Amino acid sequence: MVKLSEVKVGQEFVDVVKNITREQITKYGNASGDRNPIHMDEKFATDVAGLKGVIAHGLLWMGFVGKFLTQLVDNGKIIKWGGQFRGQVRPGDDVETKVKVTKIEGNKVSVEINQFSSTPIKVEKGGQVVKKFEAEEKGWVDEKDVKEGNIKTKEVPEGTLTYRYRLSFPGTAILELAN
Amino acid sequence: MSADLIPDEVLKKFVGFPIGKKIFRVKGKDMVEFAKAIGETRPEYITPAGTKEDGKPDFSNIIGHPAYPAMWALSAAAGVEEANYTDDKGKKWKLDVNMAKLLHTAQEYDYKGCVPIKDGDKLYTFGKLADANIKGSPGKELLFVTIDEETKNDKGELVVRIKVAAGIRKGGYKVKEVA
Repeated sequence: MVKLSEVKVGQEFVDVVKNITREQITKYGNASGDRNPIHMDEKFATDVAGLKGVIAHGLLWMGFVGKFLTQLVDNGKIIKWGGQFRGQVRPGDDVETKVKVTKIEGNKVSVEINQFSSTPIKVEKGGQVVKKFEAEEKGWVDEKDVKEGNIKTKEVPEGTLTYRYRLSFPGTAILELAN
Repeated sequence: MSADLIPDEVLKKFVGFPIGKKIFRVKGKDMVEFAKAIGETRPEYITPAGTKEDGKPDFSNIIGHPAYPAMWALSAAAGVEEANYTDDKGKKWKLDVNMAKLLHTAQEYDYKGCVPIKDGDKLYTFGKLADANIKGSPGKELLFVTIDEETKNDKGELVVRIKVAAGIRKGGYKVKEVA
């Protein structure tokens, strides 16, 4: 929750939805009425659509932004919000939404939205791969990710995690905050 | 008229074309399921006021989540296939779009001056083709379309303005004479 009296230009808020599951994607498909099999049928998505497995609905990960904005405004209002769909979000991804304050005019606060998907690829320890994720097994990562510098590493308890971190939804919003 | 070589002045003749009418009936239960599917926890979106005399949940307090127009925004935009114009020789031309080659590229919701969406509302969405142009590197051109929509309730009150943008891949669009 952000209070108008405390908000500052440049302030950033972060929300993470961890480990998107196939069940979550199916639940959204049923709730939204978008039952396109590329989101809900592994065989169709792979064999017919050539997508190497199901992908999440763009409007689901946009929905995660909406959910975060309602938490931030609390008793205020979302006046306008939106953005662009980039790349694909898949089961196993973490989705991180960053909201940065860019302008304050009265009780209207403009924000920049940058949402990223984080896709685990593999964990290595002592030069050996100790864990492979679906992205590695199904070839979800390509040369473009390497060229664009989307492949990152970080230390986790099991070893060194290699993961892809890329922008999935850049956007903006205008919020009306309460005191 | 050949696909991928549609002159800009021809494309612009479709701009402003009104895109059908979509009617959507709001059910409280569906609003709650949608909000839960995106992880929403705020009570105004997910917690019914109580139970009615007939034992069913009372959704009268529930309001539509700011992401809820996802339920009808895309199907209303699908009416882009209806866009047509008649030339000075009396020939009627249609924008022929293969929806299977359509990529949803952006979405925006504007709630300025809008009333909340409530259980039992009957919503009417009217759209228009706001822009159409072809962009992309040679051989990979996409037809980009923007559709502006307005959704009103059965009292004629505005509930949301929606902007949907999509790209149609090469081979998925052409201008065709209507017989």
